Amino acid sequence: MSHAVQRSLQRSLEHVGVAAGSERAAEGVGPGDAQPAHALRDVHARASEVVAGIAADAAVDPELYLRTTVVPEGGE
Amino acid sequence: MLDRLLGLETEYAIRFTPAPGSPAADNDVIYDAVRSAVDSLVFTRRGDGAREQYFVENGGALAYEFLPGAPDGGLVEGATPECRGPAECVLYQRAQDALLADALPIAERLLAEQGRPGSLGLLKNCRDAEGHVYGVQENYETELARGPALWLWRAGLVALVPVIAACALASWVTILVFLSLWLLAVAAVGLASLVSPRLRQRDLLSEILMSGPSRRFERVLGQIEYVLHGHIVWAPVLWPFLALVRLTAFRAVRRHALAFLLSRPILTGAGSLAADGSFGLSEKGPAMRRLVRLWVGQRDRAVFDGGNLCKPLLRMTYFDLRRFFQLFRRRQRMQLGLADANMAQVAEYLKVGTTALVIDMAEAGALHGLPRLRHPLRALRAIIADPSLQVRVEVQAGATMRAPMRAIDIQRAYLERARAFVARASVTSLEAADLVGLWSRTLDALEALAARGAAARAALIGQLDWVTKRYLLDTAGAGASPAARKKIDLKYHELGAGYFARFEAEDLAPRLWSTADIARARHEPPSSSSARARSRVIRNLGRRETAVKVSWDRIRLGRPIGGTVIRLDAYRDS
Repeated sequence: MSHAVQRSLQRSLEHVGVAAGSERAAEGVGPGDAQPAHALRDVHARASEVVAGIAADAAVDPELYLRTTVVPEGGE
Repeated sequence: MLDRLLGLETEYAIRFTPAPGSPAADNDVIYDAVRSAVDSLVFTRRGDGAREQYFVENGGALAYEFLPGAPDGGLVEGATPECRGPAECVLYQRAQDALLADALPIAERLLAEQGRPGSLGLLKNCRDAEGHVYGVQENYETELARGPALWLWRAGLVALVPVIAACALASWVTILVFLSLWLLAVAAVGLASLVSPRLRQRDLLSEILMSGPSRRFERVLGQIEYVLHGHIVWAPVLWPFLALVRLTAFRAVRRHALAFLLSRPILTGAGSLAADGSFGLSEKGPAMRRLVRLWVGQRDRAVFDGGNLCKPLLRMTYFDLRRFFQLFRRRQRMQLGLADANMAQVAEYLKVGTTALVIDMAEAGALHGLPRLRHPLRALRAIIADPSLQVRVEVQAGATMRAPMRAIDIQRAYLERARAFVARASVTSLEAADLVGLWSRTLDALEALAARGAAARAALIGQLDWVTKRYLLDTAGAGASPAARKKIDLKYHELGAGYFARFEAEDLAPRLWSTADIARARHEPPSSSSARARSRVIRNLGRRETAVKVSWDRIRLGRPIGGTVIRLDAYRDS
C-alpha cells in the first residue's frame, strides 16, 4: 500500500469517532461530544430528510421491487 | 503483520424493472450490457478459460455467475485483485462497487437501444426476498498445514492421482456420449421433418437450435451435465479429497479462530429481515450448514468453504496439471463462506482487518487458551438471532467448561490477545495498531448498545450495517407494510441509488477512503506483484486488437502454440 493511501486511511480512522458522535444528533439523543450545536442541527436535519425520503420511496410499489430482485439460489 | 494476500469475491444481484409495456430482459443479456458499459469506462481483457470472465485494468475481474440449470438467471460477480493487506482490499472493493455503479446508467442506455428500456440496479447483498442465498466470499492466503499434516496432505494428493486419471477418462466418455446423443437427436428431428409435412411446417429443427425451446433445452442439458459431471463422475475423487481437507487443511485457523469468526457477525453482519418479521444480524449466517464443506453442492454451505480447492481437481478433465501441482504448496487460498456483503466502509474494514489479524495470530500460535465454542453452529444461530446482544453461548477452555459468554465477550478476548500481539511485534505495524483501536472502540459502542438498547445505537449508525439497517426499519419503516419493510432491507444494498448510498451521500456514514483514492484504484493496481503484472499488460495493450488471454496466475500473449506465457503468483487458481 502506498504511503499516501496509508496516510489517507489513518486520517479517516481518526475521524470515525467524530462522525459517530455527530450521528447522536440524528436520533435526537443529544450531542454528548464537543461538536458545535449548529453542526449537530445540520446533521439532524440531513438525517431526518434522508429517513423521510427512504420512507416515501419504500412505500412505492414494494411488491414490484421484491419481485424484480429475486434471483436463483447461489451462483457461488 | 497484516501482510498476506487477500481478496473479496462479491456476487451482485441484478434488478431490472422494464418500462411499462416493454419486454423483460434475461440476466445474461443484462450482464452483457453491464460488461460493455464497464469496458467503456476502463480497459478490460477476456479471461483465459471457458468461463465468461473479464479482467479489468486494476487487475480485478468481472464474471457472469450462474447455475447450469439457470443460464438466464445469473448474477454479476466481481473479484478484487489480489491485495496486500486489509486496507488495500477494502479500497479495491470500493473501487469495484463504484465502477459498477457508474456503469449502470450506461448499461441502461445500451439495453434501451436494444429495445429493452427499463430501470437497472445491482444489489450488493446476500439474500433475496424469497430467501435465496448468494453473496460474498472472503479469501486469505493462509498456511494450509505444517509438519506431518502437510505431508499427509501431499501424500493424500498423490494417492488420489490414479482415481483422478480414471475420473478424467470417465468425464471424456460422458462428454462423447452426450455429444453423440445430441447429434442423434438433431439428425432424428431432421429426418422426421423430411418425412412429415406437419413437422416441416413447424420447422422444428430451427426451433430446437435457435429459439425459445433451445433455452429450455440448454437449461436441462446444463443441469444434467452439472449433476453427472460434478456429482457422479467426479464423486470418487471429491469425497476423499474433501475428507482430506477436513483432516488436514487450515487446522490452526479452524481450531483457534472459530469462536472469533462465529461471533464476528456482531461487527460485520448486514442485518436481515426474516419472513416472520424478525430481525437477525446476518444474511448469510442462517444458511450455514457446516463448519467445513463436505460436498460441492450449492446447499452445502460452510463457514470454511473448500470449494476453491476442488477446482484444480475438476480442471484435470482438461489435463491441467499445473493447477493440480499448485495444491502441493504450503500456502493456499483459504475461503470463508460465512461473510456478509457490507455497505458500510467501517464494517467492511473491520471484517477483513480483524480476520487477517486473527489469522496472523493463529499462524504464530498466539491464540492458545482462548475460549472455544462447545456447539459452534448452535452458537452461531443464537448469536445472529439476537440483536439485543445479550445471548450467552456455551464455551470451554480445553476440556474444562467455562461460564457461558456473550459474543461481545468472545470478541473482547480476541481483541485483548490482538492488542498484546501487536504491542510485542518486533516490527511496529501502524495499520494493525489503528485497527485494534477501531475494533476496541466499536466493541465499546456495542457494549453500550447492549446495555441501553436503541438509545445508544447512534454511535454505530453508518458504521455497522446491521445497526444502520435496523435504525432505518425502526424509523423509515415504522408502521409500513411488510413488503415496504422488506424493500428497505433489500434496497439498503443497491449500488448508487440505494438507501445506504443516500446516507453516505449526505455524509452520515464515515468514509475510510476519499473519492479520489477510490477513483485512482479503478485504474491502478494494488501492490501485489501478480495484480501489478496483470494490470500492466491490460493497460499497455489498451484497446489494441492483440491476441491475449488473462487469468489469475498467468497471461498468454499470442497464439496458444508459439505464444508467450507470463507466469504470475498462484494465489488464485480460477
